[in-house]
Amino acid sequence: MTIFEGFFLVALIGIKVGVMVVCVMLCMAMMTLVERRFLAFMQCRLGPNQVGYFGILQPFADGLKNLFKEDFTPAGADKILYPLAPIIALIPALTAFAVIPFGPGIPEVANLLLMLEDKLLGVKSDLSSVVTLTAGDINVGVLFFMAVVAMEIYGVFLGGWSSNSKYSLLGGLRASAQMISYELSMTLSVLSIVMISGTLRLGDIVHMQERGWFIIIQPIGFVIFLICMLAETNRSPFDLPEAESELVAGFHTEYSSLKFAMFFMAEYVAMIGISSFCTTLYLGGFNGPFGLGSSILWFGMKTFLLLFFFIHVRATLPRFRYDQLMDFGWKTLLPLSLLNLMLTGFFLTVFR
Amino acid sequence: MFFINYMPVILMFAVAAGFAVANVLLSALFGPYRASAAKMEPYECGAHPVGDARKPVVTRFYRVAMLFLLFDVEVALMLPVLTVYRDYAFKWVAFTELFLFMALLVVGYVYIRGRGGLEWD
Repeated sequence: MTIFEGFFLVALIGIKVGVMVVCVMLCMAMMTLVERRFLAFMQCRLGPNQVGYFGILQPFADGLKNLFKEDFTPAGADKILYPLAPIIALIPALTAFAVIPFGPGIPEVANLLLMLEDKLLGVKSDLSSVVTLTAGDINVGVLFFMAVVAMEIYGVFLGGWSSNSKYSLLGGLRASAQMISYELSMTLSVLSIVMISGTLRLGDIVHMQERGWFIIIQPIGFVIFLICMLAETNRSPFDLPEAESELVAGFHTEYSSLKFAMFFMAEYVAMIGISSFCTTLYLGGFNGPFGLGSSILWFGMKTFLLLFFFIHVRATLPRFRYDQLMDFGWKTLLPLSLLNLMLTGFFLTVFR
Repeated sequence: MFFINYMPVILMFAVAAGFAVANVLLSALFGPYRASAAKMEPYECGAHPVGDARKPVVTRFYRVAMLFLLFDVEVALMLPVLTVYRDYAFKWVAFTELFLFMALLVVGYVYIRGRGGLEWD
């Protein structure tokens, strides 16, 4: 591979990654609006509907408002970790999208790019990995995603600790204990999928689901994943780290302006990311149901369904008590996911 | 080729880091700055804060972290085995090995639970 060819490839990947980040951020903005409108609907209110049609510009108005608010550091806060915490919270949430396969490759774009490369450089290289709708389908995709999602704990905890406020510290402690507890069950249920598919590459896992989604053979694992998904992103009914009635706002009590907004961005981006991951593992990724072809639209629909589940749960269920949360995670979910893994191994051995 | 395969991940990280750092810098740049002693106090529902927030905390959280570490190491040990589990030549041998490993894990779990290590009170 010549150096120009390498630059061409890197530039293509860069464009793809840039477009992907912009799309994710737009989805995140729309997600906040959808959540507020739906919560309002469930509570017989109207919700934000004044800015733009149906309030569609509300998220951008909120962002601008946050930008022009005072950005202060409380006395006694750690000078380095305090501004660093929202950065550490947001980076892994976005980076996790690098391995998600959003859709099949588009042949027209592939041909166009090949022609362009031929004109510019006079070579025809293998662009098959570049034109798929995945930023990078690396061979340890599942592991990468799990590792990066686990990194989000650092942002939350450092934010709680560095603020020098008791509410923040308690929120950060609660968040970290809860996230590591539920991560175990989540990893174990994901391992069952790895066991069935025999690969860690997310693209291959999606292709294996062309004939049938893994939810059919992994119903217990799917339910465990759904519950852990809520706990991992600190969403209701597991939103104890930011329980308004006891901890004011939890780990981001002392944050203001865009730093405050960044914790919210991280939460919503993580929600979208983990829903995409769940879609990829259990709901067939971009494959349509009943062999109806594959498209990015299917992927979007399934992911939105899961995100809607997040919102609906928040509107419906009350919050856990902390000892109930820990009991549920360690005494119910962990044995259940171990059992699920064992059963998967057994059936795989019998029916192979 | 290795470099190109992992390039998207590196680029994604770079874009995310750039976005995050830009956000923090922007919020420091644009907002007004009117500091006062009362505003800089840590929030404690209006009262003056009592003492420092960074006091030693309950060991329950530490215990959870330790248990997590134990179980997570076992998960990490299982991961490579489970990845090739399907293609293993002697399938019942593989199953027995998995079963023995899980049995050890369950014995440890039952012990911790019996000693009250999972109680939260």
